Amino acid sequence: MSGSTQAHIGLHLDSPDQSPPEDAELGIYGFWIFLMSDAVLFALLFAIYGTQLAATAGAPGPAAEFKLGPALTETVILLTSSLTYGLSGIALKYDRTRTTLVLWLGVTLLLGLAFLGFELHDFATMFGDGATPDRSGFLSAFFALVPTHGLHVAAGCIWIVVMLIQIGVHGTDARVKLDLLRLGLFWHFLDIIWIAIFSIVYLQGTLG
Amino acid sequence: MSGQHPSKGAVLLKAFGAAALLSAARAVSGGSGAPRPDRAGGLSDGAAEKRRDLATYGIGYALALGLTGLAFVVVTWGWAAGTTALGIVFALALLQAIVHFRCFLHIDLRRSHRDDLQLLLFSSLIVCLMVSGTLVVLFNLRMRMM
Repeated sequence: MSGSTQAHIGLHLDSPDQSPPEDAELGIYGFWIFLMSDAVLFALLFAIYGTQLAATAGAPGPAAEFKLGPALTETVILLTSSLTYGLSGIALKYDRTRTTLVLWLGVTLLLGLAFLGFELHDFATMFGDGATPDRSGFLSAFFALVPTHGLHVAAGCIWIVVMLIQIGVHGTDARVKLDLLRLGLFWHFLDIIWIAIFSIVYLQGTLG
Repeated sequence: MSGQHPSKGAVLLKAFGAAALLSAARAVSGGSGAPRPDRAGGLSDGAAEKRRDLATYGIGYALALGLTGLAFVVVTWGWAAGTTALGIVFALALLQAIVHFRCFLHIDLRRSHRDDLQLLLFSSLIVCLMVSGTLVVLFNLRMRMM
């Protein structure tokens, strides 16, 4: 392994001969702690969703409202965006020029926006069916859980735009690299949350 | 969630099969990286490492797509009924989360990653406590209101 110490999680940018600076390791660990607290938030939203599954109160229920087609499309889009983000990280690590990095970041941004578009379209359809958050406990819990993930993805998209601007202004200096690593953790984390959403919300809802 | 007892056997079988798949993938990704120390040239060393990084993401993406597809297929084509299907879906989701942690977030059991892993496990403990507390309180409340 030529002495490469994996000091922090995520992709490693440093070549084995230069050890990562102490604050980079700490900064990424701190961000990991934030992500875990975010995971607790999502877990509790899932728990509340679980308790409200039967509380449809005459409003449209899970079997009527959830369509697997769009859910699968959104899943594949988000999964692919995770891969393209990984490719941008590899470009950051190995390429001398910034073209590939910016290209893959752009693709990831487009996929994130496409995901949000599909999700908003889903919500619009549900609203059209009269499935609004105020109708039942189930719909309240649904619209607390899934749009929270959507908001996170939107924040991630804004973050990508900010990083693109920073790459344009500062180049890929140490600070920008650290932020790109953190953004990567955030983006992959959102994908893991989405696994839970399509399994617990969409697939379980369709099973009835 | 509600009882998965009847499907326990199927879930276990599924979990073992996929765990074998995962370890095979790990062996493959580890295997391609094994002959690295023999090479002296810095350039080929970097190329090999790049190929290994790419392979990690590629394998992760393929496994994740496969597990997602399997979960959707089980539900759409009705391969299993109610609770069994639910158990299979949850088991597949858990496996896919592990694939993401391993291939995208690069968390493994190496010693230098123990801090991250410990934080992950501690968070899981907190989540278990808070979620089970929430479930007990809210279900109890619902029972009293019925």
